[in-house]
Amino acid sequence: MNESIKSIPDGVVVVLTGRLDSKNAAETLTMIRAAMSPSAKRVVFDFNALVFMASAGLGVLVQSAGLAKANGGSAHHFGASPAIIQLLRIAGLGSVITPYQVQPESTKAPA
Amino acid sequence: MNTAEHLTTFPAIAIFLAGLAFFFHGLDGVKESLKSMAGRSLRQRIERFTSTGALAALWGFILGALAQSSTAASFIVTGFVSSRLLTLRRALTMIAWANLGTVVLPFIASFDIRTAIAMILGVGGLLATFRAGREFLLPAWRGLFMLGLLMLGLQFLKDATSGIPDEPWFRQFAQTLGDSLVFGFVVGIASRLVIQSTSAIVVIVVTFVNSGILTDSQAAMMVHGAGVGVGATVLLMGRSSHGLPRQLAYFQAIINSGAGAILALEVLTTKLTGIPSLMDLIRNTITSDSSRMLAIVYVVQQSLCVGIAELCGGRWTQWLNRLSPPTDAQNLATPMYIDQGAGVDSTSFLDMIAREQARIVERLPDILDCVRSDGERTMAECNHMAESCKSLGAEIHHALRELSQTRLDRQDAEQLLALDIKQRAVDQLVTEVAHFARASLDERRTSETGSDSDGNALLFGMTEGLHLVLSQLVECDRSRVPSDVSMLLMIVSDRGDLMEQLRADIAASTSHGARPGLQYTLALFERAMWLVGKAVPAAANGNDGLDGLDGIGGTGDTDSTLNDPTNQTPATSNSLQHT
Repeated sequence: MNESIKSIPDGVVVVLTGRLDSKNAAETLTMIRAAMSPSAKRVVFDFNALVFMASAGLGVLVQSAGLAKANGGSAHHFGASPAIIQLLRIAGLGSVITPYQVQPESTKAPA
Repeated sequence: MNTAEHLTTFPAIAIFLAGLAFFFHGLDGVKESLKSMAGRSLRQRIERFTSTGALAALWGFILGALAQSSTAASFIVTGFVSSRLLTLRRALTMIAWANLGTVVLPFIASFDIRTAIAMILGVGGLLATFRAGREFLLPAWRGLFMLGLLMLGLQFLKDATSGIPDEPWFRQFAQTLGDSLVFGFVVGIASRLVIQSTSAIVVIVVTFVNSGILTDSQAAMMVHGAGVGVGATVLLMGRSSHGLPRQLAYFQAIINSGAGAILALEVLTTKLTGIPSLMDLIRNTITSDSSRMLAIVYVVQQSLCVGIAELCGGRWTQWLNRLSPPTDAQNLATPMYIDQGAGVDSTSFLDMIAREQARIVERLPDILDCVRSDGERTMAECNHMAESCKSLGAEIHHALRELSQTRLDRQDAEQLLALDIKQRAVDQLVTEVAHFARASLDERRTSETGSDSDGNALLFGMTEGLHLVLSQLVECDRSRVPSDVSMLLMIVSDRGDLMEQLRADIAASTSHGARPGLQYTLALFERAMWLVGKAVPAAANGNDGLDGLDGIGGTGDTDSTLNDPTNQTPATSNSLQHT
């Protein structure tokens, strides 16, 4: 798992790659917590390179959404595979972390 | 049952196998029945009966005398300990003295254990079949029947092997022993592994001595070898057990093997040095009759078992914990707080009950371990975990019921009611999660066999989703942070449309085919999710916890809720009714 966190004007974009499970969930959450300033209202997850997520990974999403909500904001995702979308749906996270339709400019990979 | 005289090889094997089956089935049945009966009141009664070491020793002695087998006595006591009806310390005393109790019946040869077994089977079986007495007595009758089955199994094992000493090949084999004491010892071990009774071996050995096949010293060595054989048998029969039952098996093995080995060394040493042996001492001071001499040697050996057990006293617990640490499930089943609640005020006792309840909630995600992608537990371990949760839940209900019979102020009464309601939700959640794990495992196998990737994805989503909300429930129970609680409620609430859609997906999918099992698993998942919502901490839930009463089985009547925790009306969701 290689995750990177990029700042956007009103929050952070978390790029997840590979697997997000009990082996790396705590570490990922710590990174997100450190990156989220009190003014960060949005946390956006980039799932383009995420291939697998277990319940510990779902826990990271819930905790992050909680942080954003505490700041008066919300959590979103984009680039999820059908399997990840199905997982989020069954787990009941449809209203906790909503799809981010347009990929923000600032999250595009640098040239 | 009296089959020994006519045994030929094939029937002997059949009877031996039946004996093993009866023994293990009876053993499981005794344990299950004891678990059903293991309430606080019964435990308090048994605690009174074994309140001192002397009383535990007396009961152990009686048990050994009645069971006529140290192996059977050992496994019966294990059942009591597994059901938490007996503390480990008292159980050790009982097992040690049960060994000595087994020496009684060989001296009262007229007592026929078969009659006793038939009586136990008959009385227990009939009372269980006709559900005699009150409902709570049913597990006791079943337990009695299962005890009879266990003893019948041991009797079959004895019967199947009792013809062996009469076989010409065995007599020839015994004659080839010559004067070898070590060989006698080894044969003693092997005999005890096959013939499940040391006292029976003593009787056989006496006939050999009388017919001149064995010398007195060789016969003594066979009895000592049989002591070591008891240890080997107990370890062999309890090899699949873990934690406390394994500890008791080790204890029985150590004291019996120790006693047998010490006395065998004594025989060898005296033979080599020419110092008068125990046999010489008995011959010169008590009796020169071989059968009586061997009987006394047997008594000395069994007394030595007790001596070894008593000599090490309180250190056994420490040693046995090191040899076979208690399992997670066993630790969970043991109350940590409410057993220490005697004499404390009601508010503190309620706090203790809440802590005990939190221990169950903390282990809920573990019940799913066997079906999770990164879980480490087996199905059996997950089942044990669920059983332990239920066992601790029963303790909590008893504690709440006891407390409800005392005078409480309004605040305490409300907290008691909230705890009771939550416990009902948690109890049902344990059951549903365990059912879900089992159903999910079955369905996963079906999906893998049929290469059904959609079915697998759905099962994976449900398992990880349920694990997520259970883990969140644990967090909420610990922290009670209102935002966490509201997040959890948001996840578990209003899933009706989603579930309907998933059900329709399964029905429509050609790859799923007709999969009622998958629909059933989905229904269990839905119900577990709903129950999580009911088990969310009441204080942080923004209500007094009483709205959780709906569908959990309460009626809003405080007395009826607390006085009969078993009288639960299972909550029904649409999906379950549909199923």
